[in-house]
Amino acid sequence: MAVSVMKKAGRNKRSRRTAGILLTLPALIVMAATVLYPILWSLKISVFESKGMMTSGSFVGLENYINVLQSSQFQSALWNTLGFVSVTIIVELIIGFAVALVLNRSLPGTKFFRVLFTLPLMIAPVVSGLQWRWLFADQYGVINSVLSMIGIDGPLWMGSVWGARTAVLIANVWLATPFVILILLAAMSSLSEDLYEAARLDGANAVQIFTNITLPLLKPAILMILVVRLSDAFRVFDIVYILTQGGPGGSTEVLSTYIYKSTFTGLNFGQGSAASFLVMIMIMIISFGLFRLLRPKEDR
Amino acid sequence: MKKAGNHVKNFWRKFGLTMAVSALAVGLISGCSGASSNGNNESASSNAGGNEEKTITIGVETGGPYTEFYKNLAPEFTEQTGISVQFLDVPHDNMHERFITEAASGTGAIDIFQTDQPWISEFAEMGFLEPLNDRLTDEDIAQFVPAALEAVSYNDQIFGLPYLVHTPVLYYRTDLFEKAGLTEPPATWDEFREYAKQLTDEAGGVYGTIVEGKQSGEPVTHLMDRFLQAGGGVLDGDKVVVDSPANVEAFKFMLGIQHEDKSSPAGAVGYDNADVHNMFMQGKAAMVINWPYMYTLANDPGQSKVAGQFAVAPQPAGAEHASAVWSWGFGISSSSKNKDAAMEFLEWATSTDMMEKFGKHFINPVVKTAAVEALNSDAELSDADKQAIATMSEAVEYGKNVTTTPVFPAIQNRLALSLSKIMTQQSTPEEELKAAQKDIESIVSQ
Repeated sequence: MAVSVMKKAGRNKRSRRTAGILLTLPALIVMAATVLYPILWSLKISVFESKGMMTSGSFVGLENYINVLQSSQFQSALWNTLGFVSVTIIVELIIGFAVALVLNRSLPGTKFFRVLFTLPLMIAPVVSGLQWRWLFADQYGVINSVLSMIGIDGPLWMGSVWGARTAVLIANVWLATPFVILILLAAMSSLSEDLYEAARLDGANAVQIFTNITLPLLKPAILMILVVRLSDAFRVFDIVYILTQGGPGGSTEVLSTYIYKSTFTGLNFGQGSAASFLVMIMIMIISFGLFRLLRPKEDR
Repeated sequence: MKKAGNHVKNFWRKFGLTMAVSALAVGLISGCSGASSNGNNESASSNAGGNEEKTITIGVETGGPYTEFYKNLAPEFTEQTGISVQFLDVPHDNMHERFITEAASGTGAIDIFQTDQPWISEFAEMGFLEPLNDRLTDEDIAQFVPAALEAVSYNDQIFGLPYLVHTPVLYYRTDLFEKAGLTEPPATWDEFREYAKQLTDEAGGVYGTIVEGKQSGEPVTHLMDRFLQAGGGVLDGDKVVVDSPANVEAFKFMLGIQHEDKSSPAGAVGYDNADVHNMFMQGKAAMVINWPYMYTLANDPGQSKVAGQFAVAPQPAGAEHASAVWSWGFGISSSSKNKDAAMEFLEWATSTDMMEKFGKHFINPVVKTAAVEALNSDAELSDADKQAIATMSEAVEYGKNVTTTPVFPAIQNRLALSLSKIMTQQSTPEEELKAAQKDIESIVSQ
């Protein structure tokens, strides 16, 4: 009896798995053709000497990788990217949490604000980059003219190192935080009220409830945000390219703009591909670390 | 706590399901769109085969004024030749990348590239552009002003036909000059710097001039002018001569205007020509060095506050009277399957008749000698406009082609970094030009 039940369960499981594979097969094939093939192709380019953009050069092994790692422009792009990624994600999470906590309550007007906050998600980054470029303009920009109304002499957003970095950060946070808010809201709304009731009965205060119930329960959502946003932030391109093109003096050059310029402007496809792989490896290591760090305890 | 665990698992299950479904949906959508675009292609090609009706595709800059000009007049070409024209718009920032990937893939989907000066040599070197010498008679060649075809030549072969060969000129506000008691535009660097200081009225929101410093390609074209005017440059034959006293001098001149005299707005270190034309048309700059395209824009009262209150002059001279010339034109992709039809378009686009319309429409220098003469005697053009065209054309005569190397785009990219570093005072001209020299040497030796 017990054996047959187990067998049946096993068969069920197997047929379900086959169905699953069959169902996702078309998608997998498309993915292989559009993702895997180009990746392998650029892997090949990255170990060949690049002559113009052709791969007719000779095999050079890891030379492109070494050249990239030694180039001062790559190094500064790497530090800029790491700085940008960590700051933007922290800011996005803080603002995202604050807004989501407010919107999660059924206060008047929250519905309207929920829609309002998702709007940036629907705007192409290039378009919003252009908007921000106008807003940050020093002579005719809205931001500095508003600042001057309250007696603040606005910085030269595009003409100073930290002005440009802050401008990129603000524009990016504006674009990306809605995603964080949406995920957090979705996760919050599915939290069971019972837990909160029980906690309140046990005399827990708001801070205790947040740190002991809300935060742990939102862990998977936060993990997902981190994984998605980290790899997104690592690949940030549009905003930087439109707002600053990496300037002034390379102070906002990030890995993507560096790769773009060395590949498509400098036509050094070998080094460009090598740099892309280095970035990919970095993102993989970080994502893997995150998964380990934030995995639910019972799975560990 | 058990409940919390379940909750977490539920979340992951739901999340996984959503992802799977959306992956499938994306797969289906892309599958469908792939199929439909294939269908379109087929029907287009069968049409072309059946009716002997040719279509050529031209890759052009999105929204560029010159693009719009040709788009508007293309129906005339179709009427004359029976060849239909399709325009493929690409934003200026992506043109180089888009065209290069297109050319390298060799599909011939684009027959004609709108060619921007910096990458003509590069494209020619890589064999992406069709050499036109065999398709042009000596008579054809003689019709162009000399600088025009030189700009689109590489290793003595012509790789396109230009519709515009230009160099930036000095735009100055005649009303402000009069108020300041200045009668003539500045002819030298010293005068330029002096006038800029004099014309700056920060309280009134007017700056003497604007020194572009953005880390971007366009400001580098102006930097090249400054180098040439100081007697410097980037390449001497195959030798990299970036780290030279003359180039240091050029930067000191720019730094002096920007940071000592402050006759250029502080934010200019982050400006390119778009900011310059906004500022000038808003009446916030007394003298700017910009491209001929701005002339008609700034004279249009609908978008400019300074219409009719400015004139153009050649750029002031430093140690030398010089500037770099740049062309815009059309080149035939070597993988095009309609080269003859494409050549017909090139000839039409740069015909004397079209160049006359072009010069009249934009008040720009023109590349055909006969068109220059026709414009000179055109009754509809005002004397001021004729004067402007003459000034712009004369400026081109002092021009040098600085993009003779196929690696110019990479050099331009490196110089953009130098320009920005120096103008934002993150580095000194001496120090930064040394670094640039080293990097550009390695770019050239690649």
